[in-house]
Amino acid sequence: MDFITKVNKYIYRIAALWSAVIFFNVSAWAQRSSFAVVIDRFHAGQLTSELAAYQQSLEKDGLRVFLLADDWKQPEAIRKQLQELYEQQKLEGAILIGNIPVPMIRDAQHLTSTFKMPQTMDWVESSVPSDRFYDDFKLKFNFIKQDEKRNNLFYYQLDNRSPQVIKMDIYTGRLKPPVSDPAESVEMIRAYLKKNIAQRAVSNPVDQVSTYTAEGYNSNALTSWSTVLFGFRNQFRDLFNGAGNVKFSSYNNQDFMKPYWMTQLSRKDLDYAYFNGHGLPDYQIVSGNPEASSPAPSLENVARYVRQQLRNAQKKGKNPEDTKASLMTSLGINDTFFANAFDPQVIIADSLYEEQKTISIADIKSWPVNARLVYLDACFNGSFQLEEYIAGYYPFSKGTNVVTIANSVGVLQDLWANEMMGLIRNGTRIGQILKHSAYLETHIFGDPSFHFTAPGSIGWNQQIAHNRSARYWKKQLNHELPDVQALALRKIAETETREEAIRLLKDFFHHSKDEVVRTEAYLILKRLRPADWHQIIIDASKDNHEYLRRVSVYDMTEIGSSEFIQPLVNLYFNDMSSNRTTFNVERSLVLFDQKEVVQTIEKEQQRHPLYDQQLVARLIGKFKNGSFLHEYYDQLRNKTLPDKNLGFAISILRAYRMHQYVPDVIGFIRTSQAEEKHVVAALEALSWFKDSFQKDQIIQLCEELAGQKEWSDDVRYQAQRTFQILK
Amino acid sequence: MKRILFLLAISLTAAKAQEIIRPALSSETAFAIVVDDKTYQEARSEISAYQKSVESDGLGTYIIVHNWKTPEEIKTILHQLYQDKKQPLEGAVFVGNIPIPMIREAQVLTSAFKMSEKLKWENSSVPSDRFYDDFDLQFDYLKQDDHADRQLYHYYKLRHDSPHYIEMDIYTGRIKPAVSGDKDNSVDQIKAYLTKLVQVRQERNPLNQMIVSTAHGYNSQSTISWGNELLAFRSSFPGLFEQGNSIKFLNYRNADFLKYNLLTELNRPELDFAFMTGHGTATLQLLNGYPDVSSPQSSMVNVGRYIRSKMVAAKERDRDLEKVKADFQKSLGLNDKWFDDAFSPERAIEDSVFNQNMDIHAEDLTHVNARVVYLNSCLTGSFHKKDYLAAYYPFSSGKNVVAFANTIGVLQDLWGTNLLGILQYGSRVGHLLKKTAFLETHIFGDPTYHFEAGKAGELNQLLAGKHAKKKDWYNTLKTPQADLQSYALTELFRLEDEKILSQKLVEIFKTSPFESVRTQAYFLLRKYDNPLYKQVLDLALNDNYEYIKRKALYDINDMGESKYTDRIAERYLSDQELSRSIYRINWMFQFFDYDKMLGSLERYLGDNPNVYNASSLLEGARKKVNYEKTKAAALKALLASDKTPEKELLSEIRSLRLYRHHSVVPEVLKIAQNTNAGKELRLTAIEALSWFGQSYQKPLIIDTLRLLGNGTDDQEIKNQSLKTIRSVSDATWRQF
Repeated sequence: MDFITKVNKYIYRIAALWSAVIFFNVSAWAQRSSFAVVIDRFHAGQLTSELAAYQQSLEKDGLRVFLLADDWKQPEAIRKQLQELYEQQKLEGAILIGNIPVPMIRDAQHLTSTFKMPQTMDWVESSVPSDRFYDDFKLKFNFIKQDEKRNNLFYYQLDNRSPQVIKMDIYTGRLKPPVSDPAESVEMIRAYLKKNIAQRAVSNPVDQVSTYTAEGYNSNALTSWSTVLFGFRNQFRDLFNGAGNVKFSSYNNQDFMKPYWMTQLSRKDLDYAYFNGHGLPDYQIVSGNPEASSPAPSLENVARYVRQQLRNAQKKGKNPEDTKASLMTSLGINDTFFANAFDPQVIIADSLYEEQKTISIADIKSWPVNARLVYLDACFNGSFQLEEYIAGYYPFSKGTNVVTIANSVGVLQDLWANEMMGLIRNGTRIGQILKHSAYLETHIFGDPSFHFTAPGSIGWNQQIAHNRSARYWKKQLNHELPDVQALALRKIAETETREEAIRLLKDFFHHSKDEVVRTEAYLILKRLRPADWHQIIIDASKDNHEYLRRVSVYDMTEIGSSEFIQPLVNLYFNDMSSNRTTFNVERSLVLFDQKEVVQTIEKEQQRHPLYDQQLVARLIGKFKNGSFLHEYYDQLRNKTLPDKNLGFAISILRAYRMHQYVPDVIGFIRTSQAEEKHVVAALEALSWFKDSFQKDQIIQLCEELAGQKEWSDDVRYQAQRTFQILK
Repeated sequence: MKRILFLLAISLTAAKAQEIIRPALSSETAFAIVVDDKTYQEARSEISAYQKSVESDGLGTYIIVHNWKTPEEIKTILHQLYQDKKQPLEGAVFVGNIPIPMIREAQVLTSAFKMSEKLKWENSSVPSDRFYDDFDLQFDYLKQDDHADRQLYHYYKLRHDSPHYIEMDIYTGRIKPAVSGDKDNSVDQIKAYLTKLVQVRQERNPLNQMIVSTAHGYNSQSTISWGNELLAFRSSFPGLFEQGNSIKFLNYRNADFLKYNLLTELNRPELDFAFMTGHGTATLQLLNGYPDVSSPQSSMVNVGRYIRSKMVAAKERDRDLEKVKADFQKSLGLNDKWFDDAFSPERAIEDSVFNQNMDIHAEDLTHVNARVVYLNSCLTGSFHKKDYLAAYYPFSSGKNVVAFANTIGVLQDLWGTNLLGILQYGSRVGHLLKKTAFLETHIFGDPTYHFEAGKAGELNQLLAGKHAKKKDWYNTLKTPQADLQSYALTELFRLEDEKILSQKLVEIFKTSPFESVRTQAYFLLRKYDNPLYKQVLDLALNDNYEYIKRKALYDINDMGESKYTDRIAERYLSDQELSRSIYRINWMFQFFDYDKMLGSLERYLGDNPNVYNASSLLEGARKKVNYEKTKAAALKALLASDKTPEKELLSEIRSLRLYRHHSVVPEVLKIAQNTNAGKELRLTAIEALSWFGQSYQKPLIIDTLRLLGNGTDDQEIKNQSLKTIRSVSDATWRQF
């Protein structure tokens, strides 16, 4: 039995020609990278000619193609076939077309950038729809159940013995029309495949890029926004001088930027559109209320607010007169503001006004999105477990968009969405970029094998997919594109000796002139943890690139040892122009020894006599007074914490690493008379302390518990899971 | 080495001649410390130490002392020294009470100043040391100010036969403290400054810590203009972005009060260079406005502050407070809450502190450590006044030794970052001034100061050198440093053949990755004003650097040719995120052929399915253009009518200095030619046309005024005609 037969067993034979092509491919192109088209039988049957044309297009682009068509009952079957192709046929990626089961991942929130919804909530919302199930074969999952109502959703638990980090083996993309009617779905995919094939056929190097930063992100910090500027400047250097254009825009350019950004999206020459802002499954937030300081626009904002408050009060069955009186007192306004709150025309005007602030599904449905590649760096836009989700409408719009990147759940504001995006300049497949940057929630909607035109791109993509020669990647460290250097560093970390990799990474971290290369080197070093990792974090906190400073605060916070108090306080005093950093520093310092924090701030305050003293006094006050959280843990230690507060005191640790109280939580677990669910929750909460300076204590605890029969299976399972994550 | 002391008799004055202490160092070029007698007597040892310090840095230095009566005395000596073959002068500093040239009829040499010269002379003249450092400019002496406090003021007007652009021959600086009270402690301040200066010069301090700050209300508050400036700094100061160095960008949007952060930075002992942009007055740097907010409570706090300020003002004017209050309550919809404490002392203090915190005042600048600061704002360098803000920087007790500032108002859209990068390679600050100054731009402090850099000595010789050849500059052009390339281009412009360099500049404009180099290429081609410039102008509209785009729009505005209406419409459609460009385009709608503009707008926006708000954009522009069309027709009729009162004509014609209505140039020329019209009116008309140097009407202006000048016996009309012709001919040699 040879492999071909084995593979062909899985292949739905659309036509004799198709299978012949595959056979021919396998024998002649055995060394070539391959790509899988995974599709449900229904759609496959309806799209025979389009699939054949798509296959030809892929082949022309240097990929052998496997068509996997079936009535997929469970995700495992797909995963298994992909894994086999990966192991035996140099599979580099796959597209999941039509009705492909959606893995809904649980117990894996630490693989997301920030998602922390309690899993006791509705499973559709508290699980993470993720194709990492299909593209990271090392992750281990336990099947839980199929959703009772939405039968394409399959719940899995990340096994406690699984690797607890993502390291994708292949890349994937989804082509899932946001509709329920099968005929409509077929037509949408047909139209997509046709335009995708057409787009793949034309020569189109990246030369037009446009970016938008929406309201309310990263504390609206201009300095954070500047890292987008500097990042793109690194990544698309030659587009800044005549070879093309990189446009930057943000919510503060005009009161309402929706028309501008919609126009950008439909630019026929636009290659890459990057949108950063808040989002939900069905809309993107573009602007807030206009900011103003003069009376007239200020009062307009107030008027809209009070009208809405009044309407809300009525909806909730409250007495609008009470609301009115309260608003008049608190805002110092008279009743002229309320006169027209219920006037139907005013209600319509207010609603139209609100629409100017967002891009909704309805907007995208009827709009030609022509930007070939769109990145929706926002929460929930890519919630593909739902029937309707806004990201789905991008590739299926009547414009020339073929790839949209979006997230299936909420994402961290401080993440680096454009990591390695500069690779599109030299014709890297979008899927390869995803493969090197995705969290559990990051997804491609559209064809992941798409790439822009660049000389030698077929060969280059082959190298990224399969070349594991450290020597080759070391040569790429001199490449003119910073992101090729960044990728090379990643590959070197995988292929070189640890010692040599660390040497090179430190060299690039300290000396590269390109911000994106320094940042990538830092992020890789973070995974490798060299002996002087703490010093590297401190160096990053002084780097001129705001993003590095920002992530250094995260990392200091995650470790929590007092050696970081001084660097954090330094940042507070020296980096006031970086609002996001100082915002994060304030949040971070709460998690350190409060006495030492106060002493350090007071010392620095003396060295900065011109600093805003009121601000410092407020900060010191905050730490001196302590918060209710500190009180909770004191009570936990003294066993006086009321049961009603216990759940909160434990769950808050998932978001706030109160390192100093880890011994108290351990003590609580060891001596707990409390309900088992609290012990499990506490152990789970400790799984978020993987970088903590208290980590060893937690590991020790978990080892003990896992081996002690007197604990229940649930406790021991969680102990083992926490151990696995922390070890 | 023995100093040679000699007396030089100057024919201009019969009084005691100047005392000149020659340099002890024989260097390629020389520097001069020009000081008044009294100051010198009291600060002799400090001045001598300063001289030694400059010389130890390789620059032979004169000390020239005199009881100066007129600016000419100084200019004559400086010019002589400049012409010295062996050791020509490269720069000078004016210490103490040095006559202040107050320049008139030269507003085209400023970036934006357009005050009517009918106003008080001390306000409507431009204090400028270009009198001393640009020897080609020709002036007529008008008078010395007769007010006791303004004895140093000497009024000059720019002659009609003078070049009408600035090309400085040497650089200069002023060491002139601010005096705020009755007691004049200038000399003590000078002594302290010089003592500190000598110490700071010994630091050998490289430029590796920098801040750039942006205050509110500038350039339409465009964050994209700001962001592009960051990218330009990224190209011009690449080293500062690497680990170990730092460059911070402060913005008024960072905090309600930028002041704390900015002052903290200015005080930072290691800070080398602060480039600050924002509005200013002679005694203030304006940083913040009331906070921009949208939440209800914060919005009302702003409203409350506004109300209190109005109530206090009403009280001061003795108005009926109850009525004022009732009016506000009615118009704004407020109850008593915001009025209750309008006059409470606590609230008054709180408001006053709030207002105080929005700006930088002299008393905030007691200890500025940033070695060099650049105040890119109006008026802070009004050194003709006793008290002016810029002086507080070098004369603070901190390590600041140089402040760049402007004596009058400046243009927001000027290219403030031009050549700044040369400072990091060790260029003397004076060299930066020399290449970039308008009539109003000045250095306060030591213009020879430079940061430490490996090859600073060589660089300064190159920059000052009279011997640098084309080849040297072509070599400099090959270095990877953006602003050294940019500088080299300005020198090649002097030395290279237009044909060769134009081609080169076009190539550079198309390919250079550096914003500053492309911008320099643009400005130099603009000087040539040849077909290649027009080619680049077209590309500039689509350049990735917002400033170049903005400047191209500026120039097209000043050309007024209707062939550009398509391009303007295109930018209007594509660049809505560029608030400053959109502001400019709205401005341009006033001056272009209205029907053609409407046609272009229709072509780009009418039924364009790819523009989300095409119809509202089109409608807005159409309304504006139609409005301007009616207005312009009325203006044309008014200028053409012999019934228009002279006062109204004068006012309309004066406004043309800013509002470039190219289409009414023929009417204005008719007024200029009209011998029956009043002299003032005719002179005003001829002068107003001097602002149309890039206009498509330029040939008509030159031809008509030439005829007029040649054909009249009226000397004033003749001179103004010649002056306007000169100004128009030199227009592209001025950046604005």
